[in-house]
Amino acid sequence: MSDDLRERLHELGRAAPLREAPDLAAVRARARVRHRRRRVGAALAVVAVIGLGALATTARRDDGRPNPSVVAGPTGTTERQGGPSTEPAGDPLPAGTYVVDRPGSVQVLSPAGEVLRELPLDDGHPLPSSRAMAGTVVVLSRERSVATVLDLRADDLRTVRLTEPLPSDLWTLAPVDGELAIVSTVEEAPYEQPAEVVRWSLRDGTTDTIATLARPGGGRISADERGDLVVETVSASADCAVERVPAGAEVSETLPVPDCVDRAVVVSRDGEALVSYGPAGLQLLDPETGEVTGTWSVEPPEFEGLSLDGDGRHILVGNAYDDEAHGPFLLVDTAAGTVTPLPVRGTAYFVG
Amino acid sequence: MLLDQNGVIAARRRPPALPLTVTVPTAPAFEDFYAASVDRLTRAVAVTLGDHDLATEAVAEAMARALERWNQVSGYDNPSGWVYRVAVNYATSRLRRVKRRVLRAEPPEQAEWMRARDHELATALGRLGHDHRTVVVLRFQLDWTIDQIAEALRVPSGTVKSRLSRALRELRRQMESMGRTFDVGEDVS
Repeated sequence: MSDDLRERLHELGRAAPLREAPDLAAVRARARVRHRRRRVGAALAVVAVIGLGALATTARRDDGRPNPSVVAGPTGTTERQGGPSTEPAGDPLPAGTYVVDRPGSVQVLSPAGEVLRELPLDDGHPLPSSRAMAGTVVVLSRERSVATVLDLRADDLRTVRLTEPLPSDLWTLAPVDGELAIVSTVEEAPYEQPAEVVRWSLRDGTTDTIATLARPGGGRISADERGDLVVETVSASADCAVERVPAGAEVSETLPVPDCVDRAVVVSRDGEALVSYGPAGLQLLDPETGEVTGTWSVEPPEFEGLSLDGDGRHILVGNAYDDEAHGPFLLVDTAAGTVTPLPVRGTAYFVG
Repeated sequence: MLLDQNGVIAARRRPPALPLTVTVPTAPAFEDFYAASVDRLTRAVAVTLGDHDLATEAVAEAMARALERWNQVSGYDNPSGWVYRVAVNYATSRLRRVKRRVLRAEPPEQAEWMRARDHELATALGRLGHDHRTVVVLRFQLDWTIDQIAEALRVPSGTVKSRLSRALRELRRQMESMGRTFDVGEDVS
């Protein structure tokens, strides 16, 4: 066998037992189906709005029992049970304020969609990578080696050079030791060891390992405002799992989330619920028991990418794998029972 | 319409226009692009994923998406890069939904057809991370330039070079551990 890498790779490619590539007519047919599906998806979104309205009016779960996450308040308004609002008194950022990554910029939008602040980016990144929490927006540079930190409450903008670039786009913001920080999982090929949970300081860009996962792999990570982390672990040798790292703990604990292979799971900002998206729809889960406490049918089912706002009332549901960028988004108001398609593309996170 | 072997527009410069002659640049026909690139792209995605069926499905989907917006995609310097990226994204999404094993459902070292052809190379490729495997495939199987790879992956050229350098070092280390070696025949940059 030749020692030439190029020749050997060409040989390897030629060995692929490919089915015959679809002819052009099949590709054209697939494009037509995609077009129709988009139109049907738009129609289903409208149907979902109507259906969710009816669902929220009765504030009941699929099984007919009252939804424990969304209940009618004494004055006919709605409020969320559980922990207090994470929104500080006098906060200039209304709940539902969100951040959207756009080509060339990051925008802060009001719940009504008005652009409150725009942060132009000139590093040529076609789609920025940002996260938001507690009034702070962090945007990573193209090589994930510089963080731009926008504190909306203090109206402060600064950059921090990270001592090591983040290895992947799976990261979150979380309060660690009283400071908001970047947190991500770090694992080495062949990804069969439990990943380390690493903190990148937004003060000086230094890193340190804050915990280790109990199971192999690493993956999507989210945090609540107390600093508890939830990580979906993924590896080739073990079933996937949803791990929680309580603030200050050195090792994660496994949450009782069944069927995690087929859903995206993030923790709500108040830590009182897990939000799941998959074929079963949009669900709220009790993090202690894995019990489903609320279900919404939101179409199309390919949507994933979730964020809850500061008071847990709104959920952003995003399409994680579109062609050029992420989107479009649906804004789910769990109290009013409405689903509003947002006229934005990009990844989006609530900041207020 | 000029396509090179990679399905990339080979010549973008128009001949000098005669006075009073209006030359309208024409986009390459999708049919020509498809015929020139579908097989090579599918084989490259198959080696990247280690899954030939998923590769065929993913490239078909990516081609349908390219057709939907061909006016835009045909204007890119490397439409094949766009299709490759969309295909791998689509495959990733499929794997996540089906098995939640991101690009590791069947790493190349476990793919029967790859091991049967070249056991050592399949094993060594399977031990590379996804990013490193990707740049090796794009550089040496598709023969793309550093800049073409950078555009396809949306990362700076310097990142491609450093990934390629590290990938080759690791690939060589893996091959040598099996008593084999390889050469790349040229300056990889």
